[in-house]
Amino acid sequence: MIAGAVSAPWLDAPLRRFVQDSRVQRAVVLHPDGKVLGQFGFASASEVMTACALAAAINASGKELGRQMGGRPFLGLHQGGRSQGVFMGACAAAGQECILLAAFDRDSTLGLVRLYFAEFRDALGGALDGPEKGALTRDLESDLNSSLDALFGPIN
Amino acid sequence: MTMAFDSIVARLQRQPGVAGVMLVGVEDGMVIAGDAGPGRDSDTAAALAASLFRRTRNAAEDAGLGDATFVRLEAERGHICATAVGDVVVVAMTVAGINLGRLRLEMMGAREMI
Repeated sequence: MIAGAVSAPWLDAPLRRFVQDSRVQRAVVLHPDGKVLGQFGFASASEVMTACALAAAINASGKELGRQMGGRPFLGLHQGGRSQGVFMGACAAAGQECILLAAFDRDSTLGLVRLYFAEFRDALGGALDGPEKGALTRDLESDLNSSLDALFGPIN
Repeated sequence: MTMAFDSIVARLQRQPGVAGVMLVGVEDGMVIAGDAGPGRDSDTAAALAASLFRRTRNAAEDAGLGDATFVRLEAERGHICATAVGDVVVVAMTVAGINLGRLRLEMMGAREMI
């Protein structure tokens, strides 16, 4: 059981698995427009919202930079620090693009995060093949906001 | 530098029974040179081998044994051997029944070259 995880039902198991296997400290899955789909490890709802807004902006910038430089959008990003690293990768669920943003310390490595992100991406691709396929098209934001409010309390 | 790494990999790959040799970043688990051998995903092998070496090194230090110099994992069909110098892990994947003493000597020699 991972404490502090809040996710859409179809995302819960793949995200938990990714966090456990890759040993990242924090992870959030979002739509490219910044809407949160699931998170692990964040201390407050405002932190989640901030991370999503920044990740969406970075994703948009990276895509455009890729188009400008090579004609194709970049699909992943890594920023390494002395003791912490950030990884961001694109994936898809039910044909819709999602982004995973993960922060990790020296307990993990970029190689491990990339390895288990590939498994996460594959799991997500097959997660919505069943009757839950319509779940992604529902308004998940209100569901997630309710969950975040329940866990962290409402944002003032 | 890249050519020097490639020559180290090539030298180890010439050892009988060695299926794959990689130089891997110990901090990021990414392949610097070499590959894991036919039928194996090098990125996966590199990430896991670097993680194995880091954790073994931590265990050795926690146990008061000092820095880990050589790690060997024995599996059903072969071995994974690893040694590190600085930020680089030298990883060799072998078949079973290999002359491990000779491989160890070669890998320690590779450390000196790095």
